[in-house]
Amino acid sequence: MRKKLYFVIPDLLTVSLILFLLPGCLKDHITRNYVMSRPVYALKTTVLSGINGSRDQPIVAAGKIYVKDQYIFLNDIDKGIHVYDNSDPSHPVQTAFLNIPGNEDIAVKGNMLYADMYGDLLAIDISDLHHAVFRNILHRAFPARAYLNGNITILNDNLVDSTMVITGWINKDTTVSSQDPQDPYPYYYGGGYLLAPTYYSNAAVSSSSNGATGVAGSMAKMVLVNDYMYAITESHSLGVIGIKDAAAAPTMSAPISVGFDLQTIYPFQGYLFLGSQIGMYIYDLSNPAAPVKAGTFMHGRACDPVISDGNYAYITLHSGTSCGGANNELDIVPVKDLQQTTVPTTYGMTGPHGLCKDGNLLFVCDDGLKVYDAANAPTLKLLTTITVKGSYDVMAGNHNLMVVTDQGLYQYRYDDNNQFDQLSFLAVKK
Amino acid sequence: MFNKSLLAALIGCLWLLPGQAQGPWKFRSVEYGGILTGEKGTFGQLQSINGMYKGSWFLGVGAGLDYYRFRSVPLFFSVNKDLMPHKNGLFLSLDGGVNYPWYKRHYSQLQFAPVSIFHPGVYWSASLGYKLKMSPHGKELLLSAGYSFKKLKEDYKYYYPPCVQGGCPVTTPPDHYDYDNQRVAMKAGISF
Repeated sequence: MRKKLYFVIPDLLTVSLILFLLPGCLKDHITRNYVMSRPVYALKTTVLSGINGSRDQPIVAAGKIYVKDQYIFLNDIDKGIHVYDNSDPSHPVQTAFLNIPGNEDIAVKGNMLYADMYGDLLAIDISDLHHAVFRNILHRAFPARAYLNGNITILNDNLVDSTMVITGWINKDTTVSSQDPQDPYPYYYGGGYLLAPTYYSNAAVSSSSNGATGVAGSMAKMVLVNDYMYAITESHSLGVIGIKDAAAAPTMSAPISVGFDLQTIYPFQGYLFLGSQIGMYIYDLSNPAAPVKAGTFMHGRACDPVISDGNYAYITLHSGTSCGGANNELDIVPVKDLQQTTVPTTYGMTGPHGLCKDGNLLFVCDDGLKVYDAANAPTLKLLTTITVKGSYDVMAGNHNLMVVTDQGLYQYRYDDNNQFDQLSFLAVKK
Repeated sequence: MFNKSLLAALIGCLWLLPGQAQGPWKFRSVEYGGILTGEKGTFGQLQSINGMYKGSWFLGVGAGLDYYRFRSVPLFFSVNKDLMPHKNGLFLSLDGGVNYPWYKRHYSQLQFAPVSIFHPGVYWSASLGYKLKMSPHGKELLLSAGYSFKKLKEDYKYYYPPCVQGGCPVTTPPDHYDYDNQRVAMKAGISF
């Protein structure tokens, strides 16, 4: 045995030496297959003259929801607005579709519908829903609708070409040699073309609407309060847009610097509650033309829609993906006395999104739709969980409940005993 | 994901074996520890292969832990051929199967974390080894070295800052990555 080892070991060492050198000849190969998107442009004037689309237009990607009178205005992300006559919630009927590329937010006052078209704010006369008429435009109201490569290119930027607007995308599968994407730097698509950003939408009932305006949600980025529209024009600023004269073009004063990573606005009883990725800001609307900061609640990094009933602010924190952070929770923050230090009551959640409140009922989009008794807030009692997949948007009032999910729009009827019956379902086209 | 050519070769070996081997089939277990060296660096591996041998042939199924680049668990068929039966000497080994991921990316709370899902890929290796009998009862020390390949696939969904509000683009399709990893594998093991 020893003799055999004596002869074998040098051979093994030689082989080992060779083997240690060999790895230098071996290369790993990483390939990346991705979708490269190139925008399709159209003249803005052409798009605005073709606002009225087909009332048979199916829902492709359900976004934010807005309700006024008997109508539901449902955003189809970056495509336009579906208008449904909801006189009978069991059978909502689509009466119109407004072609608005880049649209994500909706607000209605009287017969004037305000909608974003990428960076512009449109004023559209909907006196006749079947023949909506574009009336006015506020250019570059939302300059933050920039794309991934950091360059505001053709989209509403005078530096390039403000006469064009992106109406669609041409997608092409592309395979390239790559490296480990361990560092998740924003991906650069060659040529400066990028996918249009699309957003979660979460909505809840706004209690501050008057008869002339409709109802928006907790995740809206633009809201109407009397003669003004308040909008998150870019991630750190609040814009104040005058809309007193519906016949005139909206006008915007210099934006107010608020805080970092603003996301949502919720108006309530003379205040604005602004949700951001690092906290909630409260602004006093005593002078509606010049909102003033009245309070702040900071939290860990997360996406946070916020609503309020005047006594408490209800904030859902959603982490992961673009939101960062690790918190998934519902925070209930007393806001009655804004001068006092606020200590929240926290409830753990799975991945909450939109929320709304109807009387003592609190609705939270989280792993379905959770319904709480908030009569003794901040103490909550879970009453039931409605099973829906991909819920991110909820609106409730007058015993009617609307839940927007990635599958479509559900409507329920609920009674004083908190029994929920599904009335209708508008499905997203697969 | 399982290499059809490899499967055909394995079936061919199984068909040829009865004509080559003498005596009954007997159980054998081989436990390996070793290293994998490639462009990414040097990482460890563990393997356990259990099967039957007859004469100079061994057929077995194996499972392992492979720490190269992304930790994974290869499950494979193994075919060994003793080039010098009944005494110390060389052997050839050929493994082939599926490589299952056992890895999850981690990001700091401040990052806009993408969503990453790994999928299995093919695994195969070919090596030349030397066996030393350690006891009259069949226990052997095995040393081998050769080429090893494993593949993994990943769906990687980016989310792009800055985000104006309410979460960022969520309808962008994920990127797909294929990782082809080529290594030199050196192992030491015991069979019994």
